Amino acid sequence: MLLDVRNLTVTLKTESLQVDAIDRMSLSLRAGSIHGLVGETGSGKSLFARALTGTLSDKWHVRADRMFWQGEDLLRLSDERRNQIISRDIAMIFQEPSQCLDPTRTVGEQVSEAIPNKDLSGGFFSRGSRRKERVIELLKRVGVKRYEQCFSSYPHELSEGLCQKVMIAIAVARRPKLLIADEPTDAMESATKIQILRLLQKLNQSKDMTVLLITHDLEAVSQYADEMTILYSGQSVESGSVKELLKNPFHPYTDILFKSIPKLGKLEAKTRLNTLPGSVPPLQHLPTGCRLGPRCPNAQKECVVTPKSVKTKGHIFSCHYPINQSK
Amino acid sequence: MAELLEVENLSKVYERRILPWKKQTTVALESVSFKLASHSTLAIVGDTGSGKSTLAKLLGGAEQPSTGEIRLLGKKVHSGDHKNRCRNIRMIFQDPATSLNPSISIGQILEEPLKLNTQLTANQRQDRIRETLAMVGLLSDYIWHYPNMLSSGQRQRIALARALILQPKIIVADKPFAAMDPSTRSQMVNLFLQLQADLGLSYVFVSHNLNIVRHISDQLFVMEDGKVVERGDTQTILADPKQVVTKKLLYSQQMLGTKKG
Ligand SMILES: Nc1ncnc2c1ncn2[C@@H]1O[C@H](COP(=O)(O)OP(=O)(O)O)[C@@H](O)[C@H]1O
Ligand code: SF4
Ligand SMILES: [Mg+2]
Repeated sequence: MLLDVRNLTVTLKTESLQVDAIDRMSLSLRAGSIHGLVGETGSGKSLFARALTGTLSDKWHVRADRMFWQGEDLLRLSDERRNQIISRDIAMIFQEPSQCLDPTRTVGEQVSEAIPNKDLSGGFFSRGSRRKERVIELLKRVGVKRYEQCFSSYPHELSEGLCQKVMIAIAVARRPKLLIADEPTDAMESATKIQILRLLQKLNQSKDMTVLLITHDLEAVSQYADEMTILYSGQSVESGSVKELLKNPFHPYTDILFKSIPKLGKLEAKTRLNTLPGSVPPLQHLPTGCRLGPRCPNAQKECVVTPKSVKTKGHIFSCHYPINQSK
Repeated sequence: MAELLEVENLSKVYERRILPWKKQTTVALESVSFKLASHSTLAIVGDTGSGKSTLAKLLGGAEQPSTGEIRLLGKKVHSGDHKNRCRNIRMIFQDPATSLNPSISIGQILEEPLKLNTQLTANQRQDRIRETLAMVGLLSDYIWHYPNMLSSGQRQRIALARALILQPKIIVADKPFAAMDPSTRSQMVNLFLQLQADLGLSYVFVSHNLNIVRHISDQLFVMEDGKVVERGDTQTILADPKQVVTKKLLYSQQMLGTKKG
């Protein structure tokens, strides 16, 4: 396991409110995989990424039974050591890439800055040209066709898709072991979206870089990820291999999510899609126990107690009344 | 009986003056003609800049066409004829967070179009608002709320209610589902389908999700460089696409579930 997080709780503490925005969530990342982290807006996906990378402000408190990074518990390390590991091994990209780039400097300058000095052989004076070579090499690798032009462009001159490629080039410059992509293709046109997802897939395969793909786009995850973890309102729902979950979901929420995609639900045109009533509860009014309770078709009395996560047949799920259990 | 909507030779050319004596023209939409019956849905797909949104905006009256005409139930819609069009063809945009004014209550947001376009009395307006909110599955208490007090799913419903309040015959929606969460999206798809069954509404959808397009539309236009390059019955086109663009669009989604090709 590259990363093994067990029972992570992230608490928001303000004067008026104390609430577990993430409630005993677990997630394991297999080295070399593409892992989808799926959930609706506000389910805590970004919060998880920030808790992992230690980028949350003081009003958030992070606890976990463990948070193993390659066998080392990040929570037991000094801040300094931990930051060192994270900045060496983990890189992140976000949605709206054009907002993440510095508008006042060229792409070439910004990518070049991300290249570690140790990658540049030769004496001090040949570094400049070595650096440019390496930037071009990176731009080529992320599929920028007009790399020379891109090198001297400013972010606003590039399309959103190109900006995301540049962000990816910056992210992979340090050869991270894990790339966290937080809604990297949100609001992109399908052709661009597919280019970016394919690129992540290519980098995953050729560079042995694990990818955590955070998204609410189930279509993308079912197509590109090997494994997935589903979150609902800060609680782990189910995780396992995408194929297995698609075929045989154990958690009612997983089932309904997949059935909400017309193609996967194999529905006749214009018929009703399977869906949950109501909407995601706001942080101030979280139900006790299983947070899906008020919307869950299978809910019973016992569901006011948070279900423990159970591991069977390669699934990990948290539900008192799982489905598809026969056999 | 006259067709609900007839569009003839509709086109749009944008002209930009780059120098005092020199103009640059872009053909955003090449001449297109079609009909849309009631109870039916037209979906428009294509890459960025292919002209999808331009066509949607022309239909919704948000832009003036360069040529052509639009007829509603046999009557020509004039570019100045805002009332008739406003009442019968309504538009919904992708992001209700930005298209709903945050400083106005939901009640006021819904009352505004009624004041502008109808002769209803204050009481009749309130009744209509309540009925419309019920139609989109919201309690009438919501009239006291402000947009930022609502979840994104509820805001989508308000945007839809605002479009429905004038009891239109056609709703034009530019990527209404693009940024939605899965459970909100399927709720909204169900709502659109139900309103069509109950009220006989017709829709023009711009979309980039072929799974959704397949599920909700009867006719399909595939656009490329301002031209409708392939058109016809949705299921037929998706089963047997003729154009390269269509194949590409379909290919990118057909891989769904097959993984790592
Ligand atoms: N800065 C913040 N202050 C207060 N609440 C926040 C803040 N950031 C996120 N939250 C809350 O934490 C929860 C998880 O948010 P987030 O991780 O951003 O969800 P996701 O990325 O899955 O959309 C949400 O209920 C959100 O409202
Ligand atoms: S624990 Fe209960 S409420 Fe939660 S998903 Fe399972 S059945 Fe539904
Ligand atoms: Mg997020």
